[in-house]
Amino acid sequence: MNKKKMIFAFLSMLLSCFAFVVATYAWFAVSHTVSNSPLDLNVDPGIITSYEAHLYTYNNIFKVSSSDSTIYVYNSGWVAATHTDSEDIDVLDDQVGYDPNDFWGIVMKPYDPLIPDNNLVNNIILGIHITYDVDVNTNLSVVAIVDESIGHASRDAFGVTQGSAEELYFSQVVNFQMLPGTNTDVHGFNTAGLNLYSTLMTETYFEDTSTYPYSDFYDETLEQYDSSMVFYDDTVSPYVLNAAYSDLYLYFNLSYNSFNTDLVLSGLIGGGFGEINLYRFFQDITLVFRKEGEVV
Amino acid sequence: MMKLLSRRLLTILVLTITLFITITVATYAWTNNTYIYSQDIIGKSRKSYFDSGTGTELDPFIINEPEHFFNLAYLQNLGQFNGSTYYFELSSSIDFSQASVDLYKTIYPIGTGQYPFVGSFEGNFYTISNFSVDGNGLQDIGVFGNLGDYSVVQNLFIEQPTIISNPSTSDDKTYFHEHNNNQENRATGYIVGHLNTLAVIDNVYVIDPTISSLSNADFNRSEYGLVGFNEYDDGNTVGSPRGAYNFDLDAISADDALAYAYTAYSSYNINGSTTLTLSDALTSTGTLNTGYTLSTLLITDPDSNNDPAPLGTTNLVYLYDQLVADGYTIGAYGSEYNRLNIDVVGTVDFGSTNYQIYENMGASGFVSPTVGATFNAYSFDNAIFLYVRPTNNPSDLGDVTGTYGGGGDLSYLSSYDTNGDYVAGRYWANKNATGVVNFGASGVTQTMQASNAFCAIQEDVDNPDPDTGEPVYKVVDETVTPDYYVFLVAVTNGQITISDINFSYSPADPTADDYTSLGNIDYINANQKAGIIADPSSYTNSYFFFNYDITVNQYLEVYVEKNWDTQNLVYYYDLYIDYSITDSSIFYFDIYNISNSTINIYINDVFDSGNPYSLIEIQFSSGSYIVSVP
Repeated sequence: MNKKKMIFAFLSMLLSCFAFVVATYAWFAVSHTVSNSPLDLNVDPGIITSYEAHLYTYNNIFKVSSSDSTIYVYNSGWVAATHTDSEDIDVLDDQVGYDPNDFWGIVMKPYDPLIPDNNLVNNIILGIHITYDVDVNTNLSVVAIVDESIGHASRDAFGVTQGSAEELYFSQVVNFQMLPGTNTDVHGFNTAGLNLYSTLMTETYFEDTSTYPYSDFYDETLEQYDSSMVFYDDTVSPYVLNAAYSDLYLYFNLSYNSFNTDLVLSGLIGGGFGEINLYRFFQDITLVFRKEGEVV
Repeated sequence: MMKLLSRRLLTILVLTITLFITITVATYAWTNNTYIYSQDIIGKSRKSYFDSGTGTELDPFIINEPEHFFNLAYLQNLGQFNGSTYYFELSSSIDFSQASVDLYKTIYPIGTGQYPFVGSFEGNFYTISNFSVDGNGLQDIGVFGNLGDYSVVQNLFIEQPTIISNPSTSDDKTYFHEHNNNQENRATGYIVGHLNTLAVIDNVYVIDPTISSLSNADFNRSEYGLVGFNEYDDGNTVGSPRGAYNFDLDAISADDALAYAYTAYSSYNINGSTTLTLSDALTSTGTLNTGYTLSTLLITDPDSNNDPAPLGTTNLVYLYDQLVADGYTIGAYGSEYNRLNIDVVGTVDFGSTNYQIYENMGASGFVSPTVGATFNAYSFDNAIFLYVRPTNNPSDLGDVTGTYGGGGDLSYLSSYDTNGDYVAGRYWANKNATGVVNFGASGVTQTMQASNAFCAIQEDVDNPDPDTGEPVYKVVDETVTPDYYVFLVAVTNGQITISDINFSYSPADPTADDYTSLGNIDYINANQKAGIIADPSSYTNSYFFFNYDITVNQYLEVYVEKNWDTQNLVYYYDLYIDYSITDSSIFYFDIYNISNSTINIYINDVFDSGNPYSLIEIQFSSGSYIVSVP
């Protein structure tokens, strides 16, 4: 083999490796920011080796697989969901040309602008179990970011919200709460069939809004806007990934911000119970876990 | 050279393909990833509250889930349906125990005094079952709280509802309204709390219902069990023994009591005065002086440590109440004087065998008061007043018997003309004047009629007496159902000597016809549903009702079960009453049983008796109760 061949072979190997790495990363990214997650979940593959997300509603438990793009619903065992909830199909039923059977996602139960009691149980609790691998204690940041591209994709898929001049987005109406992470399964994340909704919607946890305050992207005028909200930040409030453990359990409560939601809908709803149209709030939020100092 | 070039071209081609594949895969992956995001969690606003429909008669709102029924109640009480008639229809039975959300297992009463239900609810003979109605803080409490005029509720089975009715004195009463006797009490019923006169309930049947008032803390009444308040009868329960009365003013016991009063309290200040004493109102010989009434005479409270009391209210007590406390009551033959029902205005001279009133007729004598004026008995000297509550029949308010002698007549002075209209400013010149109604001969019992009353009065609920806190009554005309008809018993000759005046009332036994205003409602056994569905007209109503009126410190839970007697092949009732009373008060629980079904009564889970009687009365007190058949 001559020198040129050696150089060419070496370059070919490098290119192949690069190609492999890129392709692998791309698929890895897909597998870790899987479809149908309650939020776009972006993880750092260098630290986080796997994750599993559970969604707890008042009645149902869903699981987002970290190995494929499937939503599972717990029904005496995990079974792939054809859709999440028959009630939610109506989110599409007035969408011309759209087959409801194609829908394959999770919809928060509707926000009721007239009956506050109906809003008591329409929130969703997101539980995330992360496994990580760090040699030394490492700071972790958890940030929710409004991602316009996701919102636009939602708009393109579903169209502009009926009756609204502009599409409405989840970030406009959502309240976030987060509980402190635990390295062990304190609440029963790994207990199959255990719905943590009633456990976590108590005065001890998410109902204690003084200890676990609401966070949102918009102020009460819907004019002031922060594109991200930080739960744990490397400078403000670092969360330490303890090197002695390899598991982290985090829980988020996603609910409607009634003030902002009423404000959003105030110009759209005529006022009477019979004049309500269906308004959709499209998903436009990415939840990011990243190692201290890294940026997305 | 060509061979080398071929190898290089081949290598470049492979690398290009590899790169292309790599970029394609990566691009597809991100694109796919992005696309799928659109199907992620999204929120939405509520689109509808019912399964379908627009609420018109032709396209009613369809209800087939607990949430729909919950929404109906909630929206109704928010006033969303106010001002329009909406139509609702069940398209299937609803078992609330299967509700997707526990929240929906408890509804508000449908309709309030502020927003009565004025729509139409067609049950289609489906069943709504296993739910609670939370009436706390509301006034009209039942599955339907307030059924307004022209509302319709029909063809419905209600199974195992629990009506929670625990009012509190601290409830916001801004939108409360008057029920029986002008009280702003709660009206609790299994089907409806407040039934307006022109509302229609038809073929509505209840199975195994419960009223729970175990945390009651205010005035709370059920007029018929199934219905809390029936506007048609103004809350005067048909057949209720609570409407019965028997009051008496006889000379012997009155003279005895007043003699004691003079001996014991003649030096006590009266009516809040620092100068007047009881000796100014009452003589040692038992004469009640002009300007004073036996019922309203206040003395300084003998139990107070502040005798004599200064002007004010805190240390005053009604003389008659003090006499009763001291063991001196007025009355005879098992009936008693009651200062709320009989009043005596001086000058009346009580003696050991009779009492005398001085004649006060003529242009300067009695004059009927103007409408709207405050009624004060002491403004009418030389009279006996009888305060009689209305009944369902104004021509039969009860019986009165006067035992008297002497040369004149014992008479009512009526202020009503022949049309039944009230005449203010009327006076009675002599015994032959218009409106003088003779009692008849001594000892003869007469029927009291509203048209013979002196006037009618109604409590001014917003303005009680500032000194005593007692009710103040205003004169009303014939267009108003009063709290009391006031009968003025006068003498047409001062020589009349009265031994006794007794008046009493016992309501007639009710019949099924008396309850038609309630609609076609009943308790049934679940096994009776099929027969009713097949032929609603074939069902025979049992006309089983109950009535109670509780207040603070009185707690109650009532559960009714209708069962089949396999031996006698008839239905019977199991009536479970749990109660407690934490003070010395009492309350009555009256049962109306027109069909004379057997009613097994369980009190605090202990079987008491099985009664087939048409009227059963239970008197509850702390730690004991009496079941009787009046």
